[in-house]
Amino acid sequence: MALPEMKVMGLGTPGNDKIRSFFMDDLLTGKPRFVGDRHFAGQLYAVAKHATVDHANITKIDASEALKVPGVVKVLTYDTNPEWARTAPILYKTVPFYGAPIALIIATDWYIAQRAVNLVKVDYEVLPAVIKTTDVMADDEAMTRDTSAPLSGRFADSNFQSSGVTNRGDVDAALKSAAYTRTISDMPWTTRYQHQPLEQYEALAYWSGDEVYVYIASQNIHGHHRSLHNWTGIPLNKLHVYSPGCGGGLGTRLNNPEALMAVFASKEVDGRPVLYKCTKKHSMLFGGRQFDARSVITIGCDKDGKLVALDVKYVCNGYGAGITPIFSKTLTIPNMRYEGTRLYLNDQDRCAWRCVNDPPTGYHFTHALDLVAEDLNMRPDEIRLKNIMGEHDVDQDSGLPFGTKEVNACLDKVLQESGFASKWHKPGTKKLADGRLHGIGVHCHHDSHGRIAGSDRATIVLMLQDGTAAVLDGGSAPHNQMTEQAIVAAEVLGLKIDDVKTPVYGNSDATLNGGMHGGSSFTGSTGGATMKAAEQCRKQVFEAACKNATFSAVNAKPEDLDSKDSVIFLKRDPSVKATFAAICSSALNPIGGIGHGWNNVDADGTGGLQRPKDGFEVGHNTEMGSACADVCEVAVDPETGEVEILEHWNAVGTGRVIYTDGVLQQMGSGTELQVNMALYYGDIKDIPTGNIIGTQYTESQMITTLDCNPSRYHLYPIEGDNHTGPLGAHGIGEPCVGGYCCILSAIYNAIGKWVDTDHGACNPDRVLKALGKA
Amino acid sequence: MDNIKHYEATSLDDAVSILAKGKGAVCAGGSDLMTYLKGFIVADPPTNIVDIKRISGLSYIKKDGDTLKIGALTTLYEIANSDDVKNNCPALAEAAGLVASPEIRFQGTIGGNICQKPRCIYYRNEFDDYPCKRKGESSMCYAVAGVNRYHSIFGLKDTCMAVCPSDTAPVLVAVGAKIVTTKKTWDAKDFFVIKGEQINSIDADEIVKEIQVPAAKKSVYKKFAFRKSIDFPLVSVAVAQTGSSAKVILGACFNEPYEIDAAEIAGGNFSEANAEAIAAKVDAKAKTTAQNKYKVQIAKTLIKRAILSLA
Amino acid sequence: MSKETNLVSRREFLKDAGLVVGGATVGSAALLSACKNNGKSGSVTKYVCPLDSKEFDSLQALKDHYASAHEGVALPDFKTLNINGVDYSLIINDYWSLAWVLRETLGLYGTKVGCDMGQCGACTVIVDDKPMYACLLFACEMEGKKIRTVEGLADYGNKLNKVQQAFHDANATQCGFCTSGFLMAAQALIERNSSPSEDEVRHALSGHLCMCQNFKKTIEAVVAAGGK
Repeated sequence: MALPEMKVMGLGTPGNDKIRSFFMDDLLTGKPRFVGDRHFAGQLYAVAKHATVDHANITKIDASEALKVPGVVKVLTYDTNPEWARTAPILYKTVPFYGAPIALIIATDWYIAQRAVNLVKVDYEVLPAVIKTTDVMADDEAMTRDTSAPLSGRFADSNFQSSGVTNRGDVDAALKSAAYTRTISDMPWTTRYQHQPLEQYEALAYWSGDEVYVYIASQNIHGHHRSLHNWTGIPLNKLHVYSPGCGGGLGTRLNNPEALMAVFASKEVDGRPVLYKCTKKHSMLFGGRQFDARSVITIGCDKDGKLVALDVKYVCNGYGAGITPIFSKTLTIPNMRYEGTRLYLNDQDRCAWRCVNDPPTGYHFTHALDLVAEDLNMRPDEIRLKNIMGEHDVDQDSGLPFGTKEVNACLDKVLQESGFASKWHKPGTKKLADGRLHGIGVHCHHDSHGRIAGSDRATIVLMLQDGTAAVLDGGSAPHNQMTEQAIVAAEVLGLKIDDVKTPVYGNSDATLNGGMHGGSSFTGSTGGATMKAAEQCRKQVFEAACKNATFSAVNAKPEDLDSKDSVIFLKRDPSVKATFAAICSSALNPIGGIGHGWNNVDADGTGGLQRPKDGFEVGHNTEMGSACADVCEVAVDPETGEVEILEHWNAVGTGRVIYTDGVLQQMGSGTELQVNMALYYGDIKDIPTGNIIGTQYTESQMITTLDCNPSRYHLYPIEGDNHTGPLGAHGIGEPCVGGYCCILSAIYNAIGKWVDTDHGACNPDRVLKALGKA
Repeated sequence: MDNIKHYEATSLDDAVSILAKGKGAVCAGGSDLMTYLKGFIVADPPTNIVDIKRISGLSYIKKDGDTLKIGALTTLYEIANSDDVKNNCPALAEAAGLVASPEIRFQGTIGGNICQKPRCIYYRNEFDDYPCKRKGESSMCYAVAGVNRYHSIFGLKDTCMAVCPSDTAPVLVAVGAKIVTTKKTWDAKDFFVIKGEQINSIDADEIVKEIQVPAAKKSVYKKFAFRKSIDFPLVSVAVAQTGSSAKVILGACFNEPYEIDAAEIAGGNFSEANAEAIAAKVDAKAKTTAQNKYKVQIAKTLIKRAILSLA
Repeated sequence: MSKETNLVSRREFLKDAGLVVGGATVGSAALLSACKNNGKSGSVTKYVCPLDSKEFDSLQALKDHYASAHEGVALPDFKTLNINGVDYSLIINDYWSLAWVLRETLGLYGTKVGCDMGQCGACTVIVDDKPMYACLLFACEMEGKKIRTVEGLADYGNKLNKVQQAFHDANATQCGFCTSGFLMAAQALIERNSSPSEDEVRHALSGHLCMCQNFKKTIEAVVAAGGK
């Protein structure tokens, strides 16, 4: 489908690929752009002591030795928590998870505080804990609940958060009559380190009278503002939240308790500035988030590999996962039952990051399909091609159209570019010249990310007297997202990108309560808000233009005008024109607009389809999501178990590409991240106790430049028109990381064995184990 | 570590006298010392930090007949890029060039590399979380019942399963190097005998001055780790022919560099059959756990590939 | 601290940070703003007593002051660090890393602390032409060394040097936290090897982590900086 011509946005739009990330030069020249990059006079440093048990009551905390350390100012615990902090997630008396903060040491420098932390003595009354999903399952296959399992303590009478069933057709009948069925049990999992940004968690606060100023790397300034207010009762107008740059880790920069730690600590030292700063270890304990999932999948097919039934039992811990569209929206399956259950475990509650649930969920899915394909003597791509949902299919459960549906296009693209069909061979049958084993794998999915969500997004756009526009969306970070918003404003207004400004800091005082401004739903939702605000400005600018001599002389009305490259012109005679600067400087009234984002689910007149699609009208509610497909070729050294990614093809349905480089960066990141997840990330947990013992990068093993070959990663943005998104756009930050399973699938193709990835990535020792050599 | 006192030693005698006071630690490059202090690994860490970098005459690479004499403060980068080292003892240049990351190699010294502390994750945890035998704080080795995936495949020594983390150590043992300290001249094999937390047997007030490396033109170092940079070795091997003998020394497989008898290649016959025969000896000696059995496979593979590379 | 604004007054900044700046031109933009210095050359020639905040025009005057007003109290040792071509006389605690001093004492926040354990590379600076992790260096050992930080690459100005420009042209930052470290490693590489191959670039940058996982762009940028 042909996309409308855009002025600034779009893959093929000239000059779009020349746009540079805003404020990038500040980062390149070392300007202070993160929370810790400031030092106020009298500043103190706070470090937390973290619980070293999964679940316990603290019976005693003795800080006497810590208080003797010169430079230690105060030690705070649950008992010294003010009333307003008692329900907040800081300084627990009952430890809910390993690593929960239980004491706060405030000192004159960071190293003094760290030494003092280790001198605080804690007595625990250890309580039974549940730390794995299997701890609360009685029967692994049937996945029934173990009602005698200890309670996590998160929820008074149950370890179960929520559960949901999607039923489609009659799965039991279909399985009974299917020509072929197979049941696959799986338990892959993500590590805690996946969610670990390079900038460790920190926050700074100081009080001035009864007002408090907080610096926190935030992807939701107003969320922080509101949650701090809710926790403390400090009036909103006395609470000032600033977000400088954010050093990665979107998904974990929401409602952070470290902001509260800093506020609390500063109050306890008479308002002196306190920087609460996690060490790497503490960030890992406090901010890491592990995703533990267990599935039992039964697939039923006809003899030609056409899926007739899918029965999924899926159990996982915590946030955002459990009910995932990967299973239900990627392939056409007439009968499906999906039972997804989320649990409370004694585990960190931090938010998801980089689509934490997609990689393991994708793995369950890919693994099951590949096994079935093999049984039926089909290639892995064949079974997917046979069943994949098409461009114009509607959702099988809701009957709603998809705002964008490109998974088939993504799959076609990577299969074609990689030459998959000609390279594939039976598992374990191809040796390279150097003795290594060759393998190739494929994966595709449609997931829930990049969706439009959050009706409370708000952007202000102001036209300045010099004809430039200021875009205030509440956020500052990360910079390519800010750049995106500027491009949206430039597109709608008809400005050059250089004539659009955004602030460096997110500032709760200077923007409207507008929800999350960084993360997966940012492009669509905040983009929608920005678009609407910019539209209002455009209308006012054109009205002002019509009062200007240039246009009033030809009796122009606003609908007769258009704009491009910061120039307003008469559509029927473009030689009649004036610059934005000329119009704005002479406008009689200030020009500005406020836009609110929309939520596709609440069709409030602005949500749903923006353009008709497949016979559905504007405003019609839709299904959302993003599509992704990957092919990966690997070489496995059968003597050491080492895996090298030879080449990787990644295609993502991008909707309208707002910012070419931003999209390519995300896709490139996704393909590199998959290497981390598939081959390197690990948790080091003690076996008798289950405690986390490895908290440095040497254990978590993020890849170095020698562990991947980025020049051999091929990225294919599949640009389309998202009929729900502002200007056809939607976010793509997550889907590209979901394909790590195709690496595992490629390894299977290489060695003829599936590597056991329960509790870890495909490290060489696990590959050797699969090969029977360890 | 805020309670340390930093001394700038003016001479080795000066350094030794400060160390003799107790609670001392030598600071050469400083990379391991810094992480040791910041990690709060022991309850009673050293507080007298003796910087020896201002002492002149400890950084050099010179040939003395067939022996390379390398000052203890020579950086790993210098050793890795030295033509003298590459020509006379290629395994040492390779090992030095594979330590950690480029930045650490610019900062780190050969003396520091052979005096670093173990990397066992239990050992490296804070003192009150895992007070282990190696730290002298209990009679326990937590790795035995815990995570021992990276640990010794030849059993425990003194109730410890941690491996010797130094890349250069197996090379120095393989070539029969001598390590000259302020007190004596050690054979490398005797130097790398664990003592308390140390990976070597020097005294608390003894300082490494010089490494003396015999010519070993036929020598190679192979390293295996999950990542190709930053990581400590999980398995390594140094193979070296010196004169009429040859040594195969495994690194990161035991508390100390571990010798595998290599009589078959003493005469320089680096054949596939000999390589296989030597590698096979690992099986007989290994005492593995379920988690670290893979290291035997890796060790055998590295031994074979190392020997064949000398052919 | 001023209640009306959150700007730090020069006296408070200097006293609290234990910083004494002697006679040479102060290059740090951050420090200048903290000092509210509006001199064209940015020269700061006051010596501030850490005990009572009195100011003096010379180091000798400060020493004399100590002798008379704080008899028996040893004047802290001043160390002189050369950062980006400028000498700073500083009081440095024994245990402070170079990263800490750069950031907390001198206000040069371009050098980032990621892990503080020498495993991520975010704190890389150049010491006598060699890239090193500032978190692993004792600041008090850095006398006589020429230390360069990311702020010094383009001489504190807003212009970009060759390596920075290559990053700009390649659009090679995402969150930017690892960027300073990569830039310093890349700068040191280009100085050693003016036209590195992609392989040489990957080796030289292998001591750096990037959680946004942006290696593709970073490597492209550094290869382009070398002009190969």
